[in-house]
Amino acid sequence: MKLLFKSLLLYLLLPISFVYGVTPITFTVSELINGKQLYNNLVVQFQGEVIGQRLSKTDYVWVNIQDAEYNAIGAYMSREMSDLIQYYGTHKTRGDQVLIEGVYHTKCEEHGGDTDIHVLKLEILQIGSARDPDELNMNLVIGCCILFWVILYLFYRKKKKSQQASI
Amino acid sequence: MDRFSLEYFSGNRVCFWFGFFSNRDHLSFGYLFMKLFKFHDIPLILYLTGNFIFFFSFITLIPILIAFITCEWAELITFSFTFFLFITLSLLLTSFSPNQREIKWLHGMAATALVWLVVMVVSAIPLYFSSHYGSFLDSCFETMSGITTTGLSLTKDLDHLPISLNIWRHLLQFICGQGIVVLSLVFLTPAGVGFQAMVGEGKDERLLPSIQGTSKSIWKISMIYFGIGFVLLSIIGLVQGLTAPWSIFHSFNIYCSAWSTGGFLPQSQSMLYYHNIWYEVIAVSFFILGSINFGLHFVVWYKDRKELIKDIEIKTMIATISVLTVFLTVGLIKDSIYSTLLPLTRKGLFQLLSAHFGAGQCNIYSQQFLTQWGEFGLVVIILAMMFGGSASSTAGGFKLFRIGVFFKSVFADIKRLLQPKNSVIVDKIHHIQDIVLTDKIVKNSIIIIMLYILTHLIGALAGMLAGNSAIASLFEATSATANVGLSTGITNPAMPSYLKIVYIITMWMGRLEFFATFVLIASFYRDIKSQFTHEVII
Repeated sequence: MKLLFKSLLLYLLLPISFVYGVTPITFTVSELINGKQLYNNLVVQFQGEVIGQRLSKTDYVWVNIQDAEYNAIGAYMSREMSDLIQYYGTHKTRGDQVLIEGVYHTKCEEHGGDTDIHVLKLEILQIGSARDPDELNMNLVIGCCILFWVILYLFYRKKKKSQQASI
Repeated sequence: MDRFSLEYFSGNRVCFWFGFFSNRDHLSFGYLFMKLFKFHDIPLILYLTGNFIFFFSFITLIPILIAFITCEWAELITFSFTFFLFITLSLLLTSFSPNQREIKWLHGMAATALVWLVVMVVSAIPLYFSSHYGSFLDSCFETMSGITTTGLSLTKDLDHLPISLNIWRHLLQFICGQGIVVLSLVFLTPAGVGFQAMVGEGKDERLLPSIQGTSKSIWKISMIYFGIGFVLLSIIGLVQGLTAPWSIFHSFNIYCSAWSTGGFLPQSQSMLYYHNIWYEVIAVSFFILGSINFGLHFVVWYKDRKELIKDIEIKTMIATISVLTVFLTVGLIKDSIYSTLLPLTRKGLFQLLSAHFGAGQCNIYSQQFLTQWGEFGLVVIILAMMFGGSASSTAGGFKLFRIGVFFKSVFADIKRLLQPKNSVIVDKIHHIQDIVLTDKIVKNSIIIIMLYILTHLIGALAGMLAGNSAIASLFEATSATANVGLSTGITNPAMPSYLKIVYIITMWMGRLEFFATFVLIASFYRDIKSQFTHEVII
């Protein structure tokens, strides 16, 4: 129902968006994929965190953007546009939060059938930062110490046993 | 002390519980356990299990080193704990004396099945403490999926997973793709066991007269391909603009996933993340190589290259891929899913090969199978997943040898019907050497195929119980049992716990080709039953 509503709204707003400059609707990856061919070749908005690394050495690059549901999509943009991005999300960093506007392709003819967005506009909503490292689990530290001594003891006993057997 | 009894223990509980800390042999953990319960097969199975996991435990040192280099201190602690736990378990289990009874086929096979369960549970510890998994069951699902080279994943926010944990997931695929027991047998062959344990793990080719030689050959082949694949993928990464460390990281993971026909990849988009056809070409090449029988690799390398075109598995592979490619192409064109040659080959053929060889790598979104490919495409992919790769390889499924034997026997029977009544026809198949096609070979192949089909159906029913469509449930169940890793989206952290358990069991049984798991269950059942019935087991 939500999907149907969004689709109807998109179709109503899309022609107007070109004429009056109304902003296109923001989607998640699941909504785009589950919409089958519905949004193919339409201008959509997508918001999320930039993840991984910038790919390609040419004038146009690939940047992958992850939505709030932890699904990501490839965004194809010019190198100059991607230069605005400061942080790419990894284990140690929180990537920039961006809002992109571009043409969505279910099966991009230019890129061998990839599902992608060709970016027309990029806006940095929030600059990324370093992520807090996971906290040390003190129970595991104690567990390591105990197991270490147990192993030493078991080896000692095994050695003694083999010595006794040889005698 | 020979008159050990329950009464003795009831008066010496302290001795019992802390028995393994004692210097006195008769109070060792294994001795107390055996005397208390009078088990027959279980102690030997546990002893062998302890031996097998000892060498596997040292694999944990690799993510420890990675965590140290990348300053992932929390992961360093969890991996250290896992390493110590593996060693402790191994030492405790090897305290069961092997001298009580003669080691038989049963013990080797049952120990193999048990090793996979122990490795699943212990290897899940670092994942569980990472906050990327909802429960310990999810972590166990992930490790079972890794060690069986399935590739179905329950990781939340994979794109932010620590590097050491990602390396661990891929390492599990790579090591266990060759076989946990195969790894142990490189260093040690417990007296009387070896080949039966390898058979239990689905590696029933004896490449060299000695088991240790066979295990070393399997690892040698894998490591040579690793060198080639790793260098090629690293070059592609650098050309694509990745920095050297990231290029190395991705190359290692892609190679491990491709060669072991695993399915895990370091990013949530799988192959789609890279937007690079060359990564896909190299991955396809290595998962095809990985799905070829280790015995055939060995013969082609060291003896006769012509074997590659004579082997029944290769002939069957060419036949099944050709037929399925025609079906899939017609289906995808008919429904206008891909209209031009490049997407048709890049997406259609890649997914078909990934399914057929159990690789599970994806260059489309998992939901697109349902939303775009339609039922015809899904059925073709299900068939491809069922067929699988070669026997004694890293791939799952029915195995090409069995499919080849099945069709050969069908043609042989037709031929027999057309011949005069008294004529004698001897049918042969060629797999490394000429083999006479006997009823026993045909029967064994059909039994395994039937067991796979039955497990697919049970898994599908479980999926349907959770409210999924029949076709999606069959797809997911086949993917789990045949250790493929493709998904229509059913596998996710929110799926019911019972479904996670069903898939864990089907992945385990499918990887070990059923019999080792049946032997383990039967031997435990028989031993426990004998405690109550005082039945004498010979």
